[in-house]
Amino acid sequence: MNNVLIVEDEDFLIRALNDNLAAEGYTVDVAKDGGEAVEKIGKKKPNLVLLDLLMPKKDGFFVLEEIRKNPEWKLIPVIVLSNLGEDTSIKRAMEMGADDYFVKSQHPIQEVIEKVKDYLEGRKTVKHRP
Amino acid sequence: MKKVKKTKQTKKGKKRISRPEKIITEQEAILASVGDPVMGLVVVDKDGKIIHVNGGFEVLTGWKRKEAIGKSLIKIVPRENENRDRIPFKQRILSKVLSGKTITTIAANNVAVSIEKFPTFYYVRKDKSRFPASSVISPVLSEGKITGAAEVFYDITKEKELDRIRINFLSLASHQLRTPLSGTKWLIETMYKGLVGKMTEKQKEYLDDIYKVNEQMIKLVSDILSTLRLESEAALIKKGKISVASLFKDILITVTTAAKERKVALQSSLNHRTLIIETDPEILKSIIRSFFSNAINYSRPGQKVILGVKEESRAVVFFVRDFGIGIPKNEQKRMFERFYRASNARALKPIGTGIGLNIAKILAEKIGAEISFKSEENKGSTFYLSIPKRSSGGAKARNKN
Repeated sequence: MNNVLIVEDEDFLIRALNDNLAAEGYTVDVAKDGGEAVEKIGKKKPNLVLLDLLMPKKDGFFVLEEIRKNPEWKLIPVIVLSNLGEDTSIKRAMEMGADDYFVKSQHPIQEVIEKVKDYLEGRKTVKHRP
Repeated sequence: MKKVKKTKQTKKGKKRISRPEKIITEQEAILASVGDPVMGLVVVDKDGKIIHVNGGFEVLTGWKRKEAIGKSLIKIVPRENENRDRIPFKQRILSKVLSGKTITTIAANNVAVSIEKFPTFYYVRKDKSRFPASSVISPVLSEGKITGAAEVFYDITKEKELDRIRINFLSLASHQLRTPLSGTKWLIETMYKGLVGKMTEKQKEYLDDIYKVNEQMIKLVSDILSTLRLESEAALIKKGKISVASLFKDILITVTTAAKERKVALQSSLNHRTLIIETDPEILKSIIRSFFSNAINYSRPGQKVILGVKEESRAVVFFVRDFGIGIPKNEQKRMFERFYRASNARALKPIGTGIGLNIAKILAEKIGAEISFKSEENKGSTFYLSIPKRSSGGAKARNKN
């Protein structure tokens, strides 16, 4: 069974994502900051990561860097879910190896779920990793 | 600087000689200390050679009065843009003021007095360091002829810093607003899916209302963020070219759905299709699109909206005409104020942010274009976007043939 790691510090967003992912039959793990996320990935490698950027302590950029520099982890699809909408943040995250980027308030949750399914059901492949 | 006549008649008709000399030195002393040390003042002759500077000029530029007099102002105080590119002599406003050219791209008061602050420019000091400046240049006229120019300038480092802090703060605040709004959105969507049980019709109606209000808030926050981004200059102008034909095509595609929903017909004129507009195409589209969105929203079902273009000697003018509710005369001067919506617009369509035309105006300034409109209540409005054919804003038009 496919496992999704939600890296997000807001409980209500975790709940919405969790309920929708569970309804699709995925198992879900949650990390509430960047440090915890890296720790969880180390213990159990997820099939996909949903990643918030602004979090207390270690942020999403830190997680992205850790995932991409680890040969064991670098093929995990990462979808950034953030409310940072400026071009600079989007560009930075994409350059650091995010596969997709959603400004949360601008997209229905179903769009995010469909994207997750695309990756996990093989309709979409991760970007080329150097 | 005005020359003082060497002789002067007193009331009694006697000639006095010593006094004018004194006046000259007094005037120079006054001029030299005007605004000291925060405001730079420099006066040049018709060739742009410095004939007077004040203490503020010395402090701000690092050039001593004695070194500066007689030298070309443009040469010793170069101007740079944000990217550290030198602004060529011919493009310096001083050159334009001295040659008597009318300035169209910068907020001009009366004829050739220009107040510049935007886009940000920098003056380079004697020691090659630089500071952001705002400046006012006006011609010195004698019997209707331009005999020189006077420039007053300030160091706006502090204002820029405050601006940056304000924008960072507002951008963070808007980001913090988006988080609860997106949470509400996603939780309601999850309820709609029936993942947490079946709802009664009444409950669904209530939820629909909450969802709508939430979407309005999301739109508002997103609009505020885009204005802030525009003002922060982060959105730089990208020079490009677009033909009238493809411009119209691109715009019409994006407004068709909205027009259908309101049962408004769209029409576009067929002249000047091969005309090429040299400007930032995305900004151009965005301005005309906001004209359209208003025209469609404030038309009545069954009416039409016309998109057209005309070529004038100095500009290419795009216009969007509707036959809808119009703008009440006494509210017309407030149309470009941020968040302002006309009373009849609010009555017809309660939802709206009043930010569209404000953004359009900021965008137009960015590409050196001008927005104007004509409107009559209950008869409709026409909004014009006038793009100068040649201007320092980089917008110009030429015919393909």
